[in-house]
Amino acid sequence: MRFRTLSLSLSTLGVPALALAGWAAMSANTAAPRPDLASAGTYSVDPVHSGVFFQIKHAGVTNFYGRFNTFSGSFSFDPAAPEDGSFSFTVDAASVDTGAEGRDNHLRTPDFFNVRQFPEISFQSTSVTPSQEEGAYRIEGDLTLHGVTKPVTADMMWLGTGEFRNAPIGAFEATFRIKRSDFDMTKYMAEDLSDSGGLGNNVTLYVSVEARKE
Amino acid sequence: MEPSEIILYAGLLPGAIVGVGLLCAWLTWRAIEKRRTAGPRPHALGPIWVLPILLGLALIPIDLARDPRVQVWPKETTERFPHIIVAACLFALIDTAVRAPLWLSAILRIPLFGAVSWAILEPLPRTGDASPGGFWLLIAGLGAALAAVSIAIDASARRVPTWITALILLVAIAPIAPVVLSDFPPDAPRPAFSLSPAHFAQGAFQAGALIAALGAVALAHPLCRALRVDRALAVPTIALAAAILCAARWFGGSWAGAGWTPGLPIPALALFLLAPAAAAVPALPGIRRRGPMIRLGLGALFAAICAGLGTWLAHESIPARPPPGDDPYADFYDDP
Repeated sequence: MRFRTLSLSLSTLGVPALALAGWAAMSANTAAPRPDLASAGTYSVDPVHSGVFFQIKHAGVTNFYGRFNTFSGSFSFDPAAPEDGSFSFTVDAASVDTGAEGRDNHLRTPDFFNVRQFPEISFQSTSVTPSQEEGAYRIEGDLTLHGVTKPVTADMMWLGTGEFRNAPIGAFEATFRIKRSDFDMTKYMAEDLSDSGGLGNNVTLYVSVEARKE
Repeated sequence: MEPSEIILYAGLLPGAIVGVGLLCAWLTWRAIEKRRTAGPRPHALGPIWVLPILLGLALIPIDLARDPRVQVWPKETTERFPHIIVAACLFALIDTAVRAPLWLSAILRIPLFGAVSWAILEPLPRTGDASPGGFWLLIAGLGAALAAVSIAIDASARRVPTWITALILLVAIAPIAPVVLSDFPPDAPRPAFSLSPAHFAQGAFQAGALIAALGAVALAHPLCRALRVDRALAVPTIALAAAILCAARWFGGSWAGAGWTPGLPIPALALFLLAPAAAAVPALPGIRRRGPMIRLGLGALFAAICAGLGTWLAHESIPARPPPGDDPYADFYDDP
């Protein structure tokens, strides 16, 4: 009887004790400094959770997509003061990936990107202005592609901030609409520089970025 | 480009321009010569000066078909093929007209071929392929070597029937097109067509036009037998072939596996550049008095050995595919 009472007492005490220990552990976890989720700040691009994609017309009909696998970049941005924002991005042209090894090698040769001569594609913003739509902005800047630098404008959608692995992150998507003829990439293009040739002139670049706040 | 366009601009058109152009020039020249009171001059070379002009007209359309813009001096060095063709054809035109002593022509060819090499390889110090000193050494070496090959051809061309010279050059140059075009890795699921890691279609099209032009010279010659191509054919042929090969070596390539593999290994490049010198074989002592087919055969054999070895070396340089199982997310998982 005595033994049963003792066991009951221990078990009665044990459950709250375990709960207490668990609460204490959770408290210790939540007591760690929470990430700063405010947007303002400087971010560095997380290449694992970001992507650079392009779309081009093939044979005047198809929307063909490819991507670049290696890139880096950083930006500083505050939706409350977008005009102070700055975006910088560099893409390794040799990392072009269309899912076909032979074609990718061809794309790297002088027939297209000529990556030995022009290894980098880069963008440096010069101004950021808010657009009409909520969370939308226009980024103006200089795009260097194929050794040619031209001013371009990108439509950017600020996706907000969050947390990943206890680190603050920010995310946006930007869309660049360029003509490859502006960058002296006119091979396999229609003589009238339209999209009707083997490969079109208009190229859309999609940049989807997740970045860690520094 | 559509296959029909490639066949037209890299085959039919250059061949027609050179073949028909040569025949028309020859027949016109013959008609003018016959009106002379003394009749045709027995040792006249014919309208040899017309060949560099025809070559210029024949070799440029493929470049314009691929990229219709005309640029004064393109930043991208591989866009300078038309400039190289014009420079080489102009040199050949002046050389055929002036007919300076061969030694003087040889000296003048060194800076010409040096300039051709520089026009293509200008970025090498920036790409890290050569130090500034090494780069200029390379340019000087290429200039001298290409001048030597072209002089060897021209020195023998007057003693060798034109069709033999043209056919031997054809054997030497023809493999360049498929080699630099090379497409899929040998273990790719598609039919393998891998002669090198170059993947340089532009160079292959340009080489195709050159092959068609050389073929047209060989075919047209039986109808204008007195025509000799010395000073007219070698410089444009060597200049364009060298430009294609150098561009394929340093700017083409394969990026499978561990980084960049050059489009052609240096020994293969050297063999391809040496192959046209086979056109001098039929004029060598001991061979020059043989029958035309033996002279052609020996020259073509030398060209085929050089080009064949070059092709084999290029094929051997194709990188193996990276082993399967590389995890692109390895860094992600290791990231705390």
